[in-house]
Amino acid sequence: MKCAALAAVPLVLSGCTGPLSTLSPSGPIAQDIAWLWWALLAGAALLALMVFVLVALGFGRPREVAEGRWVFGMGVWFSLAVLTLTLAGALWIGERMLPHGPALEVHAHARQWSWSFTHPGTTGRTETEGVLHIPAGRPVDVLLTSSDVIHSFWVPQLGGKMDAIPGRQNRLRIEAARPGTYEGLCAEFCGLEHASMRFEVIAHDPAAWPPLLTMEGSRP
Amino acid sequence: MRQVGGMVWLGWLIAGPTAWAGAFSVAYGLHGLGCELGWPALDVGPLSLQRMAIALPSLAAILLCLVLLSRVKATLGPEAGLPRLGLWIGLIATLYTMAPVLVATSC
Repeated sequence: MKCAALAAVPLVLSGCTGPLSTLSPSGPIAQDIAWLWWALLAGAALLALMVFVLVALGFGRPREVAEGRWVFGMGVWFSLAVLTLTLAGALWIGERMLPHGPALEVHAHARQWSWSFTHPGTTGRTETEGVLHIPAGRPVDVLLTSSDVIHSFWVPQLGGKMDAIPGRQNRLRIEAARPGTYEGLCAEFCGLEHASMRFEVIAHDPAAWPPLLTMEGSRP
Repeated sequence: MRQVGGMVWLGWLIAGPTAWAGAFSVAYGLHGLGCELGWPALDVGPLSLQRMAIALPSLAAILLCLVLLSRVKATLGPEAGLPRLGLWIGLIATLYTMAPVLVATSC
């Protein structure tokens, strides 16, 4: 049983990597989110450790316990300190992720169950299906719209996620540190084919931007 | 000091968390409304209308907790212990959850 549990650890941990993992960031915004994830994990681990120690103490022989130290020292002040630190970190990172300052603008339009993108090309603005082209090394604002239900744009390796809402235009900032192909998906359940509502983001070398896009959905 | 019944004592006990919950709900609603109506761009003294609209329900909840804290002992006598703790919880929770409103980007 113990061996099976140990053998399962690498299998479970393998889920922490891959093209759709927040923990494999490929840009500064996604890197911030990954740091926040690790900070929250550390905070949760500290609080869990405190609870485990209390449970372990409960199994020992009866003893005098300094109630004030456990209830207020650990239960209130320690927990509050962990929560305050993680909240401050979340606020700081949240502010850094917001679309402040200049950025390239591209449009992403969602519908059941596909994405279309409009961005600069060598022959003016070009529309593609299922493939978003961006330059690497600079911030990109994705302007999100939807024509039917609520969808959500998410490229875990490049940034946070944002809803695409009918009748509204939302703005999400993403950035790729290096040229490459990144996977994206709809992160809000939107109907029967929700799971297949995927797309790709191709980050180009800045020297080759804008790319030559000759037809809808084409690769350069 | 008059005798206070069970439900009245219960009311005092949940007054603090209820004040926090009420302020939070009102602030939540006003936040969405303000983003839609462009309140962050409207200044009211040193704060934007958006921050003011979210901060005012919190200030009201804090004031309510302070007033009740000043009266809890006189009203409940020896039964005031837990309700006083509840009022402190409501007061600190309101301060804690509303403080980011003054610094974070709202919309």
